[in-house]
Amino acid sequence: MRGLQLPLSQTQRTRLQRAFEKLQSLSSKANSDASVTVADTIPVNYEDAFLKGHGTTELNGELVATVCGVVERINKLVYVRGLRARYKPEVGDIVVGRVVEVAQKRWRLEINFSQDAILMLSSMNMPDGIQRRRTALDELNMRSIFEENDVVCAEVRNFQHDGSLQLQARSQKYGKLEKGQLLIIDPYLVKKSKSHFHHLEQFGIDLILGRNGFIWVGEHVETRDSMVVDKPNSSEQSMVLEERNQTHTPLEMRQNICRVANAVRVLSTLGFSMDADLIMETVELSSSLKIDIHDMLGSEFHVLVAEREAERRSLMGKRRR
Amino acid sequence: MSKTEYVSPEGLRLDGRRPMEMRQLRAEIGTVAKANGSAVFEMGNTKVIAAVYGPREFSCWFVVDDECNSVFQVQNRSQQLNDQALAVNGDITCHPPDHGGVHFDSSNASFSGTRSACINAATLALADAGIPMRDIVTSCSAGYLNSTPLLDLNYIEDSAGGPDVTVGILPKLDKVTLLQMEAKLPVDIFENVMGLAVEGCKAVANYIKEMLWKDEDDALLKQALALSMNIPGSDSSVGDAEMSEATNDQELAMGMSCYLFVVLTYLEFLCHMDGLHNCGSHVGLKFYYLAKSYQSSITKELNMLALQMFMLNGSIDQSEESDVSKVLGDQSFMPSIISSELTQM
Repeated sequence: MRGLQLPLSQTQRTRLQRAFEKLQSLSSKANSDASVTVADTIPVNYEDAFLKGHGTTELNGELVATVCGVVERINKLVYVRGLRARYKPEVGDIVVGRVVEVAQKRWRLEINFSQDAILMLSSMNMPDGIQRRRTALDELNMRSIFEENDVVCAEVRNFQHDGSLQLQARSQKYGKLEKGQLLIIDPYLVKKSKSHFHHLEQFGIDLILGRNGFIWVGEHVETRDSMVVDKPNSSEQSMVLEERNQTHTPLEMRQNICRVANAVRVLSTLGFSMDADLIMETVELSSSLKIDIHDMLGSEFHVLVAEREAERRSLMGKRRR
Repeated sequence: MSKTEYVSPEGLRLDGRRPMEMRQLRAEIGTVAKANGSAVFEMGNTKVIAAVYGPREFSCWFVVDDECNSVFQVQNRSQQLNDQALAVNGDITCHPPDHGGVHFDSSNASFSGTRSACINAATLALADAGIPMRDIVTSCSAGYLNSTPLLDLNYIEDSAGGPDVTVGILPKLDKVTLLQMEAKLPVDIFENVMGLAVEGCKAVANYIKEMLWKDEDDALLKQALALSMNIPGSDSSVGDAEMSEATNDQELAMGMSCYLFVVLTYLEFLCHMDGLHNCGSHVGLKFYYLAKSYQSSITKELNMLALQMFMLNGSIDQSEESDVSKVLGDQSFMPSIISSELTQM
């Protein structure tokens, strides 16, 4: 999502510009010498052996860029890092996706990639937690686990030989996500970090930052470790599940979810990378200033957040020195 | 009926331009927020918005032509309303089953200027979406009125009934991908007019490159902003991932794909697009698309459209060439340039 498409008044515009300038002066300078557009020749020393990476192709004996981006060189690898590239999955990434199709022994998920990802039935834990071979009956009951348009959290398992993606959801923290919102932002705003699952205790909200740019904000769900399932408890738990399905989310919880979701939207519009702390701060900023939830998406709040972030980073910089 | 002076005795056209002057170009990248890539391209008063969605999984909306062996997407909505579509050159490597779609929305009536603007807008939108392309495609039109070759016809000049040549080129590779004309012209005059159009294309290419550079600078700054938030351990992992994927740009061969079609009515579309997987070799394929007589009051001549699409598969070209040669047998009038392309095949 490019460019702020907000109606900014003149003062707001100047304030925003000032905040961005401050941020830019604090940020590391991108090397604009290395940027190329489509069909630009990449300066390479042809005597050295080099590897052609993504975003390059050989034309008439010279190396030409196929995307607009920055040329990166790592040892012998020369590639062009596209600035607005789609999500590039890596094995072990946590992604959030939406079920598009229930196929034979697998689910197809849409994950903001060039193809749909596949979640095999065998990569999914059975509801009763028992590890066993999936029978034909399991296949017929796939719909009871996930249906179309369900939001699912999973992990990238591997790439197939034809380039498609395979997911797995073996742990209890993966699986169907309910009672919340799915937000779509640019994939490059979500960095790889130690934990993508955040539990905001203050609001009782689960925040899952999928690396594909899908963010889930929802009511907190107690994750049960499947390894510790005893026979008598499992029937209890399935009852609890049913009960939970019938309870309504209280209004306050829903308001909190919306507030967090709006904070994420604001941050993504401004182009700041997603970080649980940053999101929490933004939410606190909005509640401390008593800003209405829908006003959070207005121009004034955007400007405030930008200014706040500029301050924060300058403080951080000073502290480091 | 009095003859309208399209070129005044002083050498000025109806809108005050010189015969070799192009209309004003204006482009904007990233206007459609929801799309993966988008651009607005204006040539004078012709304004086109192009939006690219993809690469993504093939969705259901496709049109199957009775003559064609596979499916393609009709995308130019406004032209759909007028029951027309444009054919566009795509020098983009195509890889099913993932396809992106390009949508066009042009606000005014379709004439050759729209076609050029659409192609230019599409190039910008595709570059914006980050889809790998071997070269950008630019297009411009030229005509011949009052015994003068004119560059970049506007609507009035185009409706005048004189010949109108639309050319699309790949500036870096210096190849022609679209060549279209709707009238009869002697070959030497045709060469002049086409040369003029190619010059216009190159000027558009310069402008597009400038726009892409500017846009890239903005994007770089934005990314620098985002990346400057230090999350420990993130930077090193990026390097490792790229190292492990050092291949001969397998992207072009595997998952990613996008194709760009805007199809002209009355065009036979001969294209094969299935089962391209894991190709090691690059094979160039040329498709020639011929149109039946264009049902407009202006002309009844044959439309000749040259289209170049480079695809990665060795097995397909044999079947295609036989179809192509069959259709080409109907040709009566062919510009000299096209025949030279044919002999290359």
